[in-house]
Amino acid sequence: MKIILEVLLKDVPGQLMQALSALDEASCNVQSIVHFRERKNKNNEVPVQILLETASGKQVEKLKATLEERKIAIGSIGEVKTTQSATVGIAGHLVRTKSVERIINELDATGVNVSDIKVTMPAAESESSALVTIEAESAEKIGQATILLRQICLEKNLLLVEAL
Amino acid sequence: MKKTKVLILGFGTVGRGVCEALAGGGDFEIAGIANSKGSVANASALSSGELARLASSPKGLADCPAFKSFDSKNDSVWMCENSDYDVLVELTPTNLVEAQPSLSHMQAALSRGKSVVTANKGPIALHYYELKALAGENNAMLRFEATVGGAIPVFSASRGLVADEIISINGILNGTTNYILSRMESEKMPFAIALKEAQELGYAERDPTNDVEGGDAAAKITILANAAMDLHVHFKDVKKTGISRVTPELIEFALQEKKRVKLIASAFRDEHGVARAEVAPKLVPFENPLASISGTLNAITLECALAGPLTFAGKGAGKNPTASAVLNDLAEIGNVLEKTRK
Repeated sequence: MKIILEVLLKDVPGQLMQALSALDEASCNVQSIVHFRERKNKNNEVPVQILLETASGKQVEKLKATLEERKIAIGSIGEVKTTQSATVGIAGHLVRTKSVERIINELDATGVNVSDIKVTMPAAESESSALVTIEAESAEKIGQATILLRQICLEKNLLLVEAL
Repeated sequence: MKKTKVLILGFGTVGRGVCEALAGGGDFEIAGIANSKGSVANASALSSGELARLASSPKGLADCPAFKSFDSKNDSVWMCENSDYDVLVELTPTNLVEAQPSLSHMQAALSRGKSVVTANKGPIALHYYELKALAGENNAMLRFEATVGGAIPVFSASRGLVADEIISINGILNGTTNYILSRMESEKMPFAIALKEAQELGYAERDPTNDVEGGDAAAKITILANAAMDLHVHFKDVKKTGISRVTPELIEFALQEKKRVKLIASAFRDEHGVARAEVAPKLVPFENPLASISGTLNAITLECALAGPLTFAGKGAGKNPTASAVLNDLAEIGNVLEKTRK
């Protein structure tokens, strides 16, 4: 998971090193560091924003504890949620084959959210059409979801119209 | 100045168009013309008026007093092997199974070091690398601009991108299916009715399978993948999904999201570096130039490493657009031959 951490560091040498060693101790992978000197406060503290990657929530807790131990003030800390989305069209016997439920459930199980779905069936027993928008935290997950959709559509004899 | 001698095989719509254009004189001389039934061997003796008359005659080539019927079906190959000409313009009807007799004609010409211009997809989709090698071994040129996208000079453009790299290609390469999808969108009509309309207007054949199920576009993307990207794609491996199951409701849903359903032919390397070519209906966002290609028009986007996307659009079929591509190829070869003679 990606974490954005803002710490308030005294504007004196060695402060950043202390904060970084705390990150190292909690096994966090630092991706970027930005100093906001223009936001220096009355206590001579500079907000420093650190983008980091951790494997679990436990690491985040450990990081918070280590920073507190070292008396480094945490301005804010939170997970960065990235959202990727894709829209696909599907045509065929979606209703008769109960494919809509299956698509939603199977995608959900892989951590991909069906954020919008439109289905129409012009007449009873006729083929239906659907437009499905999926959302996930990474393009990789969207790619995996597309492979899953291809499998379902092949199995249920549905036409899948992917995005260009 | 010595004129470039042209042997024209095939006297259908395109063959007649090319003949008409060359009859006007210029740097070319028609050395011979043949169709599947017979030939006019000494066509250079014909006046430009006579050539123009033949090109518009309902009886075609057989209307010429010098027309001689073939004794055997191999006579046209014999012509390629033995006639006196510089460039073979190969426009005979062919297919995507054996690509004959077109393939034999081209092989016969290239083996003799005679350059070839063709509008025939079959031999290029099925035997591109073999024909290219044969041309190279015999110091001949092989040009096939008319096989993909009609008048769109896509191969000429790809040859011009010498310092850049084409990473992927996406195209609307079949006018029939693009017409059908455009009508389904504008009139909200089902596929079957739009197809019938296209057949009545002559845009779709009586048996439309090859167009609507993606076979025609698959042949064209095979040619593009190999000739413009050197992907070594086999026609039989191109994954095809046609448009016969696309519904007007799906098109309407897509429009609400500012997307259009288009039959897209694509060539690319996947994430594992494997060369792929496929034909399938896709949702194309309005901001993509391919989304605005309507009716029977064709369009091709070359995604380049440095230049970014380059999109070409134009008439993908018809007598004049196809003749334009053939004549441009011919002119290019004529220029090279002219320089070699000097």
